[in-house]
Amino acid sequence: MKSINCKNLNFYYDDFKALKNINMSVSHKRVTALIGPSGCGKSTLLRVFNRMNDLISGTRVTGEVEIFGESIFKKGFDVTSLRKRVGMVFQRPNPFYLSIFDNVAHGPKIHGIWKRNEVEEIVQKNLMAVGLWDALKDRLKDNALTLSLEQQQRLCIARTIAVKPEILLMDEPCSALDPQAMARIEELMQDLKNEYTILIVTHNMQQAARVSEDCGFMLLGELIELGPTSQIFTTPKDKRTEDYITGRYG
Amino acid sequence: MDHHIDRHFDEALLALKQQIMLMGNKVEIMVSDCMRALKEKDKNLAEKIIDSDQSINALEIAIDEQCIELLARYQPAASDLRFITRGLKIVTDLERIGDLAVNCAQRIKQIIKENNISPKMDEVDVYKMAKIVQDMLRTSLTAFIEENATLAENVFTRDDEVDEATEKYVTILIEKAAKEPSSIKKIFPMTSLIRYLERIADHSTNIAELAIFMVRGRDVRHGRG
Repeated sequence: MKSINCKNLNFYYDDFKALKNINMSVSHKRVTALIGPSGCGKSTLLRVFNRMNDLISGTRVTGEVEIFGESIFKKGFDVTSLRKRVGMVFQRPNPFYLSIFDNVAHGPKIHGIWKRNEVEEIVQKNLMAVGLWDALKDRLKDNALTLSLEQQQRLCIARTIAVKPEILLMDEPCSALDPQAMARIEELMQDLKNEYTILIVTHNMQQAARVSEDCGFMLLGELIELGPTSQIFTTPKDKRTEDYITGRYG
Repeated sequence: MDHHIDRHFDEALLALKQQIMLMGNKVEIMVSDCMRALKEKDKNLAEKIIDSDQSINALEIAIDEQCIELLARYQPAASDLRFITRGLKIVTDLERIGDLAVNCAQRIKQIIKENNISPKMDEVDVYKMAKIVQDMLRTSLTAFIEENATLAENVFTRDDEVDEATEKYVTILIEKAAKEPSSIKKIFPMTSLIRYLERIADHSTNIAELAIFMVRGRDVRHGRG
């Protein structure tokens, strides 16, 4: 089963063609990594899938993108609902300037869950899912910005999954973290993939090799190659992929 | 672009390649010296071959350490990963060839001592067989170092020649021993020498298979892919 299907996707920032004829599928409940040099279009592609690029003026899309078989660019499509189903975690942790509790509760409340015991249950469940409950259960009223960067990123993940998305888009989620924190977030990803499809953009090739089951290499707006991570990192089919992952391209 | 951006990695890979070449050259010399010792009935040369095994063992350990350090420090991928992991395997084959050359040298000492069985007689030509084995070893090593899969494939057909020669020569010698039981003591070292040469050919075939995997990413062991 495919969570995301992309056919002949082109994306423009005004006259600049940032994505060129992308054809790809992202498998359900697996971790797929996108790698490639800076400026190749990885983050742009990620933001297509929850239509975050709509918020940037002058952008234009052609081609077809389906999330669980439904076209996300069809006329009248509910973008708010899309962003609930397709959550996003950003490079720098960006908790709201609210309490730890309210950060996680915010999303469910917006989507109509108001009963106190239900909200409390959601907060606990999702803080447990990201491994924060034990450390924070006695300080849920503290401001989220008092947490360490790693804890803030975990909180952002908890906030994202609290609205029960089906897909998680992660844009370099560990680049602001130290190696130990990064390792713990990577471990969290392995737990989360049992319930969510994860698409991660990363500059760290070793991270892509560690956490993903499928991996795509992008270059100058094109998706050069997409395949099982073990195959990409041992016997890539395209010389450009080989040159990049062996450090012959910079 | 063939060079890595990190030139230290380039230098380290080159150093590894040179060490593997050195080890390959040393075992090639051991095998060719065996045949020279046999032809010239040179017991001293046979002794020298036996003593040189120590340096082969030391190279195996050194190359293993180099490979492990490269894996740890650079987390190589694709062709670099295949080269380093196959490098780890090739030194095992080269070390075994070194051991087999020592075994050959020990048998050659016995043959020289017995002094009355020729490596070339009737339909048995150990020199001819040894030449094929030496060619196989040289070709497989060249294929690995030059990353030439086509060259590596040439080794496989020659292995069939060696296998046929082994069966033929050993059969002839055993029949000879059956007819003249008193000659068993003289014939046994020669049959052992033939078997050791055949095993050197097998290890050369292994090296050729490693070369093909390194270049093409296709594992041709156990049935040639």
